[in-house]
Amino acid sequence: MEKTIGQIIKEKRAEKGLTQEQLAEILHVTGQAVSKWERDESVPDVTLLKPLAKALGTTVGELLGEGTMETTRVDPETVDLSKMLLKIHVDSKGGDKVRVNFPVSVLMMLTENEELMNMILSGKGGMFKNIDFNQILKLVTLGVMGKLVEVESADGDVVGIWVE
Amino acid sequence: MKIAVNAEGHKIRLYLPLSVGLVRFGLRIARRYSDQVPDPKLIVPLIKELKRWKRKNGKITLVEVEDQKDGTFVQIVL
Repeated sequence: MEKTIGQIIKEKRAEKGLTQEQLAEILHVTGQAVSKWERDESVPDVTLLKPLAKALGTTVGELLGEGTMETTRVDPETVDLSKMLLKIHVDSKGGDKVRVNFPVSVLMMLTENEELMNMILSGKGGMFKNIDFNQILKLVTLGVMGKLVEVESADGDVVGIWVE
Repeated sequence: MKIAVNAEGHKIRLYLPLSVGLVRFGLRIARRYSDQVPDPKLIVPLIKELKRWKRKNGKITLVEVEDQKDGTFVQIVL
């Protein structure tokens, strides 16, 4: 099911750690306006789309539901790993939601430390135990960006992994 | 760092400076009660890197977990 613009705004705002009031202040609108957008009771004015996307660290296309960027390959020399995020989204059949945004630079440190990595992998019921972070890092260092994995399991769980 | 937990009707908000010293102190105390708590030696380099990342790139929500079964919500914002 495609996400609404309200859901996307809410999700991106949470990822940035902004409150509705803080986002409203950046855009010179009221907190109520942001609240209405997120509940899909109204939509942002077209003139606000660019500043809104900028404030949320995304693109206008993504706000409008074009989806996160598809997998792309960039020149590994130009990749700045210190700015990159590994995003893991899990929506379980039971309605549980897990969102993890992990700086790639921190992930690199983790993969060098077996003890710590095991601790992370066993967290939240071992939800991440089947993710091969070393392979993901290998892809990233080769310049592969965007959506890396999307899984809809037979149990109804949906897992997505992005690097952006 | 903000840690927000909503569980069993309680709302807990912890506002902690992302401080290597504080984390080391907290972990040392916690390790007295459980050997599941990681060694500060492992965590401290991560805290340093997270601080560096935040300085360079700004705020970020590291983890958000919504458990529908018991309504628990956990959020960690850097």
